Parts: sequence; C-alpha cells; structure tokens
Amino acid sequence: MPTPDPFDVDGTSPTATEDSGRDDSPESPRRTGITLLAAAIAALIVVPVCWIAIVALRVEPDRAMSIVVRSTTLEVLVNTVSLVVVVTTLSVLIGVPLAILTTLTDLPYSRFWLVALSVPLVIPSYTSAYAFISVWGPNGLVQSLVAPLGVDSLPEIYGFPGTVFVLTLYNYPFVYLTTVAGLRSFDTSYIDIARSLENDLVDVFRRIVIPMTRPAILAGALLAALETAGDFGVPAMLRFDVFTRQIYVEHNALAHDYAAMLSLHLVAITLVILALESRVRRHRAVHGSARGETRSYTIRLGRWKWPALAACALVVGFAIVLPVAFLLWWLVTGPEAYVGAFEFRPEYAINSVYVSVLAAVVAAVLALPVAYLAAHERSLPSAVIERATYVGFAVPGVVIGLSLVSFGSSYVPAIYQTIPLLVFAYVVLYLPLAVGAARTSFVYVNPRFVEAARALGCTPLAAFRRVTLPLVLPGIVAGAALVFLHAMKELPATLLLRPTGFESLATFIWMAERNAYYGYAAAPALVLVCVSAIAILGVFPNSYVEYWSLFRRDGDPDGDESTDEGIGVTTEAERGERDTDRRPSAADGGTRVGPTTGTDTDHRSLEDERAETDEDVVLELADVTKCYDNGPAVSELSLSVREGEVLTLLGPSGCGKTTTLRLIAGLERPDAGTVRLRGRPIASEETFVPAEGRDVGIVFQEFALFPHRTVAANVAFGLPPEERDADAAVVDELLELVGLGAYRNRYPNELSGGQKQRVALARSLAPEPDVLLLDEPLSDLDAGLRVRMRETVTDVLEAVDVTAVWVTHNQAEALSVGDRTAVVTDGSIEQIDSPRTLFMRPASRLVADFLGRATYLRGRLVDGTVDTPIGAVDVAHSSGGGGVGSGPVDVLVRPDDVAIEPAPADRADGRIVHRQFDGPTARYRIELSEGDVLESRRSHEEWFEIGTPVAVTIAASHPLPAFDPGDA
Amino acid sequence: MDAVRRRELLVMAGATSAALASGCLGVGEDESQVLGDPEYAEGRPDPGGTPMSEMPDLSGELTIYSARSQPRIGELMEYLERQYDDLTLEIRYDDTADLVSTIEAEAETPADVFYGSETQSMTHLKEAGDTAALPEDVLELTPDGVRDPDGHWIGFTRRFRVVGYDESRYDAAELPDDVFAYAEDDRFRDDIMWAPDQGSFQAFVTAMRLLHGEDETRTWIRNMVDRQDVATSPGGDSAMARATSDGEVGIAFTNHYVLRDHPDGNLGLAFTSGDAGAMFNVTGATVLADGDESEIAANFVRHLLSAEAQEYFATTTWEYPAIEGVDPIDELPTTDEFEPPEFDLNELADLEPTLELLREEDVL
Repeated sequence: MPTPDPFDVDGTSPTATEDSGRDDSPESPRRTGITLLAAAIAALIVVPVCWIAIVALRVEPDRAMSIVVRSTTLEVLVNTVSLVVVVTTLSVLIGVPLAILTTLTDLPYSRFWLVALSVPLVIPSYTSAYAFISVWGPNGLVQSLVAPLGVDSLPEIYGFPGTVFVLTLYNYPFVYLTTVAGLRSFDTSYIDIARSLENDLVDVFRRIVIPMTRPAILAGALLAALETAGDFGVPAMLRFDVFTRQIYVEHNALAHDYAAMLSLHLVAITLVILALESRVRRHRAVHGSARGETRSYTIRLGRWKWPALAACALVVGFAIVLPVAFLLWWLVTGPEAYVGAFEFRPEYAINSVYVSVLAAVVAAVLALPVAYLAAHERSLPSAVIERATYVGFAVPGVVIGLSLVSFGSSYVPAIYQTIPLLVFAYVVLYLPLAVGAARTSFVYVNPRFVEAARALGCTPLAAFRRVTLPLVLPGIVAGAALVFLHAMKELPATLLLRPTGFESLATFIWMAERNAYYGYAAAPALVLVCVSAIAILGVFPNSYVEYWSLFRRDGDPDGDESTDEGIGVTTEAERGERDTDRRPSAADGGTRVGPTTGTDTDHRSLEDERAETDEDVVLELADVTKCYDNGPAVSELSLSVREGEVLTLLGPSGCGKTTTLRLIAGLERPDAGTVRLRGRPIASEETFVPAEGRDVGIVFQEFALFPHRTVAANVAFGLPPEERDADAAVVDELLELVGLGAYRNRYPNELSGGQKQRVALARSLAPEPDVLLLDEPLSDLDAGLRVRMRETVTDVLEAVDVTAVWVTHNQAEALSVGDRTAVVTDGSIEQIDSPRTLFMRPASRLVADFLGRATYLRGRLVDGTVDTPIGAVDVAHSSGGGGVGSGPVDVLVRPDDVAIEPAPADRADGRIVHRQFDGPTARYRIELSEGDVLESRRSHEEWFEIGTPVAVTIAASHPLPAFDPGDA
Repeated sequence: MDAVRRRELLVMAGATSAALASGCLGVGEDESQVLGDPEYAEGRPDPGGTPMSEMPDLSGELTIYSARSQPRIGELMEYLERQYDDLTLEIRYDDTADLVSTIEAEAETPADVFYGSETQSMTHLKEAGDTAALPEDVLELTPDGVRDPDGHWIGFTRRFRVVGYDESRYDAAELPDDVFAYAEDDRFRDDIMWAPDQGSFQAFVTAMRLLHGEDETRTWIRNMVDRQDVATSPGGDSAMARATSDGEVGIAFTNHYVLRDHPDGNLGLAFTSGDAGAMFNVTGATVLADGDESEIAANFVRHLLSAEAQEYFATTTWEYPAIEGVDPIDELPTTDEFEPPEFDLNELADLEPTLELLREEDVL
C-alpha cells in the first residue's frame, strides 16, 4: 500500500490527477458555456462598481488632484492597509486555533463552542461597536468600575487599537468557519499516519494540518480582509481614519463624487488583496478521501483544557455576551422617550427574513457556475471571473447602493425601489460568501464521483445533477446562510434601495439608534440576532454522509441493526473472512483455475493468440497516443481484448496504464490513434464518444461510491431511467452475487473496504457493460483482504462472463487474475502474453525484472546451451543473438529455479550472504565465487546459516530465457 | 414630572395609536387623541396661526423623502393622513446624505417633497436645480429669516446651537455669552465636549467662518484642542447630552433640542449672543421640480406650517416654531432672551472649506 500523500490523492498515477481542468478535455464546449455564464454573472456584479469609476471620472481634475494630494490621503492609505493587515493576521491567529480546538481536540462541549464561536457573525457592528464604546469608552462602564481604584484613564478604545479589536472580534469567524470546514473535509487518517511517523505534534500541524487546510484558511482570510477594508460602521464609530470613514464624511457632506473617488481607492486596495490572494492560493487536489473515514482522531488537551476553555469563553464573552447583555439591558431599562407613531412591528422581522432569504437563494444560484468554474479550471479567465465577484464585497454598501439608485432609476425604472433591486444589491455585496463556500465544496468533491457517473451513462449535466449537486449542496447551503446573515444586518444599501415605506429589522434599529433610543432598538436587535443565530446552523452542514444517514434513519422502517448479523461490531478482519465465506455461489463452476495449472501455456505463444483474435475482439486500441504537459503518457499503444477475457495491465506508477484505462472509458480523448469497441470507432481523429455513450463500466481504486446514496441506489445508478429503481431485480441479483444483499440500505460510509469494493463492482456491472475497466481495484484494501478480494472479484467477473481490463501495479495480482497480462512501461506495451508465458519467457530484461525477483547468471551461449559458472544451462530463447548465434548472454534465474546444498568450501560454488524468511519459504542470496549473485527460494524445512558455503544447481526443468548482456 | 406618570402616558398613547392604526376609530374624531407628546402638549394655550381646517384640502398620493426620522414626525404624518380620506403619504425615511445623493442619482425622482432636518441639503438641491419655488401664500406664512430668499425652501422649525452645561457645576449667569470665551477660559479646561463629525457642528463652524472669518475660526478650533483639550463625543449629540446630563462633562457644544431627551437630568442650556454660538438652522421642506404633484406638494408644506403642526413641533420635537403665534415649550428660553446671529442660511451649504479646516486642524 502506498504511503498516503495528502497532496496526491490519486497516488499511483500522478498524470491522471492533472486532467480535469484541461482545455482539451472532452467537455470543452460545455466549459465554454459555463465560462460564458460565469462571465455574464461576474459582469453583472461588476457593473455597479464600474459606475463608481464613471462618477469618479466626473470629478474635475484639479478637485481630484486636491483629494489625491490631500495631506491626509497618505495617512488614510497607511491606516487602511495596516488595519486590513493587522485584522486579517489576528483573525487567522484566532480563527485557526479555535477551529482546531473545536474540531480536532477533546475540548469539553466542543459542539457548543463550534457554533458559539461563529455567532459573532450575526451581531451587527453598529450594535456591537456601540456596546464597546459604552463599556470601554471614556466614562464607560469599565472606567466607572475602576475609577474608585484610582485608575484615571483606560487604554484608548478610539483609533487603531479599538478598531482592530472590534473588527477582529467580528471578522475572525470568516477564518474560523472556513478552517472548520477544511478540517472536517480532509481525511484525518493523514494525521494519524503523520503522527505515527513523527511524534512531534507541532510538526504534524506544521507539515500536515496547516498545509492541508491552507486553501480554507486563505478563503477565510480573504473574506476577513475584504470585510475589514469595506467596513463602514466600526471605524466611523471608533474614529479611525480609513477610506470608508472618509467616504462616510464625504457622503454626509453631499460630495458623492468625492465619495466615489475615495471608493476607487478602496477598489484598488481590494484588487491588490485579490491579487495577493491568488498568488498564494494553491489550487485544487485537496478533495478528501472517497473512503469516508470516520473522524476518530482527537488531540487530548490534558491540562491545557482549562486555558483552551478560557480562550473560547473569552472570545464568546467579548463578541457575543457583551453586546447581547447590552441589548438585554436596554430592553429592561425600556423605551425612554416619547416617539409617537414609532413602534416595532413583527412585519419588519418578516420583511428582513423575506428579502434575506431571496438574496441567499439568488446568490447561491449565481454562485454555482462561478464556483464550478473556479474549482475546475485553472486559467486566467476563470481566475478573473471569480475574483471579479469579490470586488463588491469590499465596497461600502452606500456606494453600491447609490450606484444602483443611479442605474436602476435610469435603465430599469420598473424595478427601482422594489425588492428585486434590493436583493440584487445584496447579491453584489455578498456573492463572494456564496462563491467561496461553493467553490470549496466543489474542490472537495472527488472528481472520480463524476467520472463514475459518466461511466455509468450520465451526461455531464445529469452527472452534475445526480452526483455533484447533492454533494456540494451542504456547501451551497452554508454559503447561502452566510449571505442570509449579512443581508439580515445590511443597512446602507437597504436604506437606499428598499421600497418606500418598507421597514426591516436593520432599518428600524438604525432609526432608533440614530435618535439614541436604544430601548426601542433592543427588541428588534435581539430578534435579528436570534433569527441569524438559527440560520448560522446552516453554516455547519454535517458532512453529507451524516446528513443523508440521519435522513434515512428517520424514514427507514427496516433499519433494524440487530437483524444484520451483528455486523456493527465485526472487525475488518472478520469482514474479510465473511468476504470469503460469502463467495458468490455463481462462481462455483471453477472454470477458471488460473494460468498456473494450465499446462498449455507454453503452446499458446504470442503468435498463437494473435492468430485467433480477429473474430471475437471486443475492444481494440490502435496506435493510441495521449500527451500531457509533461510529455506523452501513452504513446502509440495498441492492444486488443477478446470476448470474455480478463486482460491485466501491469506496470509501475506513472507508466500510463491508468491513462490507457481512462482513454478506453472515454474520460480522456486520445491525441492520436483509434479506440474501437465491438468494431465501432469510439475515439479517433474524427469521432469521440464520451464516457456516457460507451458501454464501458469502470471500478476506481478508491471505489468512488456515491456517499449520498444507499448501496442499492448506488448499484441502480447506472440503470436506464425507467428501470432505475433501488428495488429492481437486477440490483438484488447483483447484490446477491457480490454477497451484500443484507446491506442494500446502508450508506457507503457504513461499509468496510471490501464491501465497498464489491458494491463498486456491482454498480459497474449493473448496466451490463461491453467492457469492464478496473483501475487498481484492490490497492485501497489492506494486504490480507486484498488477496481474498482478488478471488472474489475474479469469481464475480467469471460469473457474469464480462470482458475486463484490469489495471494494477501488483504483479502477483496481475498474474493471478488475468487471462492475459500486458506489461506497460513508458506509455507503451512491453509485452502482452499469458501470465505464465510472461513469467517464464519474458521478452526483455525489463519484463523479467518487473515480474518476480530476477537474478542473472553471466555465461556464453553455444548451440542453445549456456556455459555458466555453475555449469551448462539450457536456454529457451534469447533476446539479441540468442538461439541463432553464440556469444555472451545473461541467463535469467528465478529464486525458485535455483537449488542449493551445503558443500565443502573447495566444492562450493559460492556462499550464502543473506537470508530472508517469510514463513513458507526462505530466500537465500548466494554470492558466487566469480562474483555473480543468485537467489534461491527454499522450503521452510531447509535452514542454512549466512556464510555457509553452498553448491548451486539449476533446478528448473524448463529452458531458461537468456538476454544479451547489453540488453539491461 | 415623575417617571411613573410618564410611563403610563406612554402606554396610553401607544394603545391609542395602535387602535387608530387598526382602523377602529373614526378619522380624527377621537377627542381624547392629543397630537404630540401628551405630557407637554396638554395645558398649553391654543396655538395661534392658521388651523388646518382653514387650509385647502389635501388629497392624492405624495411621495416624501424625509431626512427627519419617523420618531420625530411619524405621528404628525399619520395625523395628516387621518384628516384627509383621499390622502396617501409615501414616506421614505433615511438620512440626509442618502436622500440627497439619491435625488441626484435618480434619473427622475419619484419624490414630490424633500423634508430636511437642516438647510444645507435643501440649498444643495436648489443649486442643483432639483427644486421648484413655493407659492407666495405659503412663503408668507413665515418670517424672512427661516426661508430661502428665492422661495425654494421653507423652514418649519428652528434649531439653535447651544452650550449645554452641567447645572450642578456651573451657574448659567457665570457662563460667557461669547462663544470664543469658551476656548480661552481656564474654567473649562478638560471639561468641554464636541462632536465634530455631526452635520450640525459642521454647520456651526461654517457659520463661524462666515460670521467671524476663517482665521478666527481656526484660532478658536486650535484653542479648543490645545488649551482646553476638548473631548470628542462617543456618539454624537445624544451621547454628549447624556454625558452632560449625567455630570460626566461640564460643557457640551450641542443643539438645544437634546434637552428633550434629558428633561430630568443636570443638563442646562446656555446661549451665547450675536455670534455663531447662537446660530440656528431650520428643519423644513422643498418641493422637487420633477414631481407631478407640485400643487399638492406645496399644500402639504403649507400644512406643516398650520397651527396644529407647529404646536406639535413645539411640544414633541422641542423645536422653535417657525410661525408667529406658537410659542416654544416652557422648558426652553424664548427667542427674545438671546440674540441669534443673522445671515442667509443658504450659505451653510458651503461645507467643503469647513471640512478642509477641520481636517487641517486634525479634528475630523
């Protein structure tokens, strides 16, 4: 089993991971469509921002210059930049540790903290900043408490420190939330493994956890930075001179051309932030394991539990309890002045919820194409489009609002001062929240899911609808919830764009606070906080697996665990046994006894096989070439697969075997050559039949079971729509065949590796493919299970009599399951033959070296016999001049071909230098007197010590292959 | 006035307005309904001026962009609607800057009337050509000083700049009647608060520039900062008023109407005489040129100068009525007790040099 590498999820075939964002991929036209759609959305979002530029350009040049060279401009710029940098840094420093505390440790009440620590997002800054001023300001609560103690002045809350403090307190949740999502998405077994390799926890975080959650942290930091740059209320109330405050001053001075000019500065800062972010954002390939590991990993805090709790409590206390306590206090002290007709009405709350829900839904829908593109395509247009949607986020709502006033009243008067335009303003302001969340979930969806769906006959659109969308839905809901939260408390754009007479919670609170009637603001502010706090639960989608499982448990009448043979407590090993016990009855014919017993293999030479192929060839590849950026992955590869046979493709990592499989499946389009299925070209210069159009099934290494569907629904997935029913007879038959009838209503995360494997097999077989492709189907299983599953799978393949191409890097697997095996190196086939022929008569040293252990004996060929240091050896064939001429050759000697027995030093051929015992046998390495090294495998009954002088004989009864010495 | 009785009255008023809103009572026929804050409205002499009944009827639908907030004028607007069956008022409450910017940005504003809480915004709209002149018979309801010389806007109430002071610490008689003295008198060192980001403060500085020149204004600001170490209000005029009322600061440069929200505390009002310290600004309205209901709009403006409306302002917003015949509330000094400076209020719109000055002196 390869060591898990978090950055190479596809492990064995690095080239295959690079493909899905490729311009020349089969989906190009669709990509173009999505790109255009996303571009249109981005353009729509950018329009209001462009208006700012237009207004700013109307400023007379000398006036414009006077603003630019104003002595304070540089100071404002420095202030803004340092505020953004410091708040963002602090947000990361607070958000990331809190996320780790709540997700990876045994922090008490972690579920409570998980939600509570994100609640600061729902507190409107116009409320919280006031609360802080009341508490810390001159003559505030704290001052009055400490005054008797002789403390005359507190650290200044106004200016930089206070602004940083309040903004950090309310912006860190962006980082916190995205980091939590990131930590929950990746397979924590990586941590276990890393930790078993190196004990230092700090190192594990530095090298595994932080790098893996980096995209998530960055996404959050970006939002925190932009929100800080664009925050209007806090710097204004805390009197820290940043661009937004200058804009506010100019706006109030009725100089909105000045305001627009200053907003341009802010847009420029935004663009810089986005550019920086795109430079540090590492792309993609973070999607979690498809194996649905449970998150068992927990860091025990020990005595650090109390400091950790205190830290959480401190943050929650400052950010939530304090302002809420203030609201409650205002509520209790009550209205304090006569306000006539001014009173809070429940309909204001309904109005708020109504427009915010609309904004959330619209933003989620518009975010989809943008996020999809950003997650799947690494190109300049994609990057520009995605970043374009972020610009509005950093521009104060008042500027966006005024821009839409101008636009709406000029070009779409019908919707001016109506709900649709207000909702659009929210979308312009908050779309990145939805884009970010959706993009992250797209990135975390394993592309194999989509490929599996395509191979099961789904068009790209159907695959999106049936697989991707359900999987990204929690992320999209989370994004929508964030938009909802922000829309609920949005004020400036709401004031400007709402229909006349339309009051919301935010406008009512504003009206009350504006007149300093805090008693009147308390009730609606508490309603706002409570409604938003409920919505914040939507930001925490349980992973889809948990979600669907819960859903199922509620509605499934026969979910009784006890009838299930106590499977809930069986260990992996026991399940492995069950795998064997339950071997499908259909496989009892034993028609395939394996190449090892076939005595005819010698006669079925390569030429023989070729001779009988033509009629029953199912699949044929002719001179197929596929290049990636770093060179050809497959070059001029040809092979044919006959009806009912199992062809194994064997080769080292990166040899192109998986690419070959993907070319057959239609997941890649060849650059040259032809692929024919039952004589019909399915890929050539002229034609390309996409995956869903080919009767080809595929089983992936990581199985790629759809996590949101039951076992039965997974199996039924590829059936034609009219038969697509988890209760279909064919589903039952296949589940019986793979011995999983009892598991039909389970979800993939509830299955063991071997069971998943069998479900994946049944799923691929359900549509009765012409050819079944298996991509390292056993590599994700542990060693013992792998051997048992090998048998199970071949039995199933035999039972349904399917033609199969099986890719593996494991030579024992290749030799034992294949009717024929093709050894692939460097993108082409080195040799294709029956396994036994391959083993006994490798066509090259390369093949010989790859199959089993090979040692070589130097010698000289004379008339079909080789004279070696241990005597004459018959050779069957020889590369180069072998068999026809004479000359120096290397004879391939397998450990099993060599017999040794102790001998007196003078009669010995060499002595034992190494011994490796593996149970049934021991392998000895013998250094011959002439310097050659041979290996000999002996039964466990024979036992020799290292250093023993031995006589060596060739025990093989068959002639041995010999190679030209230069062939190595 | 004890708090208990006040609370009761509030409850009663709330119940009544709720009943009215639900349509249980006849339009304007409820004799017990008092317009405005009953605590102060009751027991006043009948107001002079023109009652609404002598004004032309209002009808139709008017859209009003109101920079005055709903707690201040909402009740009066509802009262007007109750008086006339056919009248619908669409009122957009927002702050001044939003509304003015909106009108400027709108291709054609749906607003018929802009209701301002100061004159700068109305002057701004007038200069941008967004307003129309009011009819003469409306303009002549008020004296000269509270309306636009060109008749494009008219004031409903006057709001004075005052020196709010802590009555427990200062005696009104000992306070200077010269605003410049506050910047030099050592008694006030470390004991003055202002709110430079408030529009009303900026208008006051503008007035000081106009009346006393830029140099004198700059010196005053410098002295306030350097000599007196003036504090900045944590939250505008209301926070400043509360700080004074609670005795946390001795002197506050604020507006007279903040007294309304602190009638029971230590907050006292002192007026300077003849200088910018005693300037007033007006709340008022202008009819927008784009509106297609200019006649009704002007009539609406007229109604806000009616005896009832002026009495409402006097008792509920604690402002000085614009018309002759309605007195300010007893809690306030009458206008003959001090001397406001005289100048064209339109000049207050020249704000940019003021902001520049404040920025240069590092107070904004």
